[in-house]
Amino acid sequence: MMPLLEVSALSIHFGGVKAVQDVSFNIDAGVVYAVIGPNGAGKTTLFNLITGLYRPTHGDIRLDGETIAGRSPEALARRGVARTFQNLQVCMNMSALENVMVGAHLRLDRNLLKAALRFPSLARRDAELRDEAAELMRFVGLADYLSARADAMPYGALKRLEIARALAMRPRLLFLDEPAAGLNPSETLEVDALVRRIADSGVTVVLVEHDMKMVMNLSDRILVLDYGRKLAEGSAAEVRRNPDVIAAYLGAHA
Amino acid sequence: MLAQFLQFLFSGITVGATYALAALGFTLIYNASNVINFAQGEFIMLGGMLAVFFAQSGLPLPAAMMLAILVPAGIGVLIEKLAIEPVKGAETVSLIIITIGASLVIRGLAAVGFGKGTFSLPAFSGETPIDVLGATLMPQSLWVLGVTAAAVGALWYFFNYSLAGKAMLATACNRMAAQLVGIDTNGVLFLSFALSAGMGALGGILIAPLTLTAYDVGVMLGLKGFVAAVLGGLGNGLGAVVGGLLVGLIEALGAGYISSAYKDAIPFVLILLILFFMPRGLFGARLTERV
Amino acid sequence: MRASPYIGLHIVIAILALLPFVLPNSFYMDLAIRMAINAVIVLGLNLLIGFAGQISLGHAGFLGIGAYASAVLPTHFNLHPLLAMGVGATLAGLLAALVARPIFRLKGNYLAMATLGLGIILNIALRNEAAWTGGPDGMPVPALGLAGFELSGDRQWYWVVAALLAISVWASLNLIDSPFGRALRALHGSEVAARVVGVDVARYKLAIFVMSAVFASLMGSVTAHYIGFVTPGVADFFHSIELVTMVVIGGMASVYGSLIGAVLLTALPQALATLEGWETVVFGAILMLSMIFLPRGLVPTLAARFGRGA
Repeated sequence: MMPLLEVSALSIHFGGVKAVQDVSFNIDAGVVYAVIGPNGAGKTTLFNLITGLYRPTHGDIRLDGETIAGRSPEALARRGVARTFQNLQVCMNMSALENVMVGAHLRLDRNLLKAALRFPSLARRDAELRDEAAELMRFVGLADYLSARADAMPYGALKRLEIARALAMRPRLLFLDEPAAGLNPSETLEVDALVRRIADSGVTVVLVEHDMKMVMNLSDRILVLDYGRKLAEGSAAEVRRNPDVIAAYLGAHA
Repeated sequence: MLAQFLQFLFSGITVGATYALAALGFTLIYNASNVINFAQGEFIMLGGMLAVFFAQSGLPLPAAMMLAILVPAGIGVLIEKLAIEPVKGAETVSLIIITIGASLVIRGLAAVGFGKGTFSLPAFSGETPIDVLGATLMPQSLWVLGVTAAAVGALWYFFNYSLAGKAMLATACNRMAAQLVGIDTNGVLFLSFALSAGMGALGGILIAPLTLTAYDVGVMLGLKGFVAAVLGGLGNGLGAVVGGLLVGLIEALGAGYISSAYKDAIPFVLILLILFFMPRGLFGARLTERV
Repeated sequence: MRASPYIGLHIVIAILALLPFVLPNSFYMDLAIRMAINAVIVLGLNLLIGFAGQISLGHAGFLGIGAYASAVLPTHFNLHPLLAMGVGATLAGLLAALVARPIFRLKGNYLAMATLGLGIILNIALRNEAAWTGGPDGMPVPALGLAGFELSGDRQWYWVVAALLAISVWASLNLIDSPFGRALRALHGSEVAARVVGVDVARYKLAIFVMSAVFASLMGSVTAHYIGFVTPGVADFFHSIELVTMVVIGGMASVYGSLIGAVLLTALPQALATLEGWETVVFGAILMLSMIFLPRGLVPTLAARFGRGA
């Protein structure tokens, strides 16, 4: 079976900085795939490349065999790719529910005229969407915030709101950029359980995360990056034993 | 042919010097606070108008001119304290509207205080035109260019060789880092408004003998100064000066050779072209947004 | 839970219906008509500035296109006024579409400057082409009518404009709470977030810019026919600022705020008429004070205070 995502020799240079260099890996459908590495290793840059925010200098990215390198984020959304952000990108000018509803954007009738004239079909669909969004919020554990405005929610809740928004897209491939960053241990456990629930529902999850326990627990396969290069790839057990990985994280001894 | 070209060249560079001073003002404030000060043009107006006012009240010309620079500088600081500082971090729309409001207040007060007539300042060293290869050069033009060059030179020295100047550059580069090393960033903001207003006023004084002054000259001068700043690259001092001279030149040549009725439109066509094709301007830096 | 925003619409319709019977004379009718016209323009502009979060400092330019289309085309080309209105709106829309893509790649200050430049160029063109436009002194506008019936008199104009306003408010409310409207507001909140959920932000900015330009042009035509005369001042920088002020004071991203803003700032020059020459100063002071103390505008600030509590 063809892998869902194939990345080959992917590179990006920012002036003299080679943020990502010659990285290749494949992701099969239905797995939980983690990308780890020290700070500055290029993990978020890799995400930005795959989700269309950056254009690669070299290399290719294929989704289901189709080249997506250099395509816009909107085009990737249309192909079922969703993501969350390390630095929150929540629309603070809207309510929590509306933020999630925006996630369903592509699945709705976006016609301007019908909207202005309030066609009944549109109004009905909107009411359905409201219910659906509320369901998603409950799924990610935000049942307490159903009628909240985004700017009134705490950090941990906003991180989960982004996940709900991404799920509203009904994606095939979900990129989570440090979902547990800034969360306390109990919140981290909740996110761990949430990612498991998402993976169990059939979505392929790609995860950047620093919390090693969470990574080792959840992931089927792990990619290790260091200074923009691929250091190692394999199952959790393999990666844990890899001497290069240990050296990179703990510092090599002479 | 040559005479005509030289004529346009002289008038273009002369008014370009005023644009350059205005552009430098925009750049200073933008660097210190990321605010585009739409009231910049009014400082130019105030320079000329106040010089006339003080001179007519009996003060000797040099004293009148000095006051006409200091008072706008003071007004600039006032605006910064009352209108900009309280809303630090507001959305760009809000800040733009505040400075537009300030410009309206200043212009309105000038209209009420000085009336709507046009005024002129006596030329600094007489009105005998100098003949250059068939074209006429007014002595005042030489004053404009000379004093502007001196002001730009002084600023350059200030930024490169004085602690205060370097503090301003540091703040422009990275505000938080500057605060962390003990630079008084509020003081920098204060100084940038004062300098910017003062320079604008200087420009207004220099050009008043040539082009007359009235309560509403500020609008166009300020906007064109902004065009110059963008052309040179918003935030770049050298760019501001080069931009100012270029805008003045292009405007004069365009008005002379293409259409004088559309003279005022030329800088705005220019800015649309710049913003469409080269938004960084001539010397501007490329900024990337980190996600 | 949420009070329906449409309740406000009922109130607005009630007010509009009762107003002609309450207003004492034609001076006030005229004022009401101007307020209503401005309200429609501001609604369109607010969609752009308040909801989509873009800046436009040259909006009066589009008003000018519509106004002068209604003056020039019937006068010099014998075009029927309704057709002229359509041509004006189309021109405005095309111009907006043309400059939208390059302009909306810019943000913040640069965007403000580009729209400003556009407005000024339009204004200068109107002033210069005196043969067509009558130059700085302006030109008269023929009456608006259809098949022999001509719109004239306060009453007739009032009902036409009131109907337009009611429909505009209704359409705006509908839009905001729709996928299109949410996409627009998301664009304002976080452009990156909007893009990754599939909102084609470039197209949306274009759409909303063109829409507000067309609205403005149509209302420019309506104004021209109502007053019977146009001058280049309709498209100048100060007028653009007046419009932005109406949006900002009433409340960005607030439908009813647009109405309040239009009402207040249409009445203001009348109130200031006695203060010869101080209009500009007061206007500028209002701008500054409201942005400093009421940055979200009157209606959202009041709603937050009395409505939902927090």
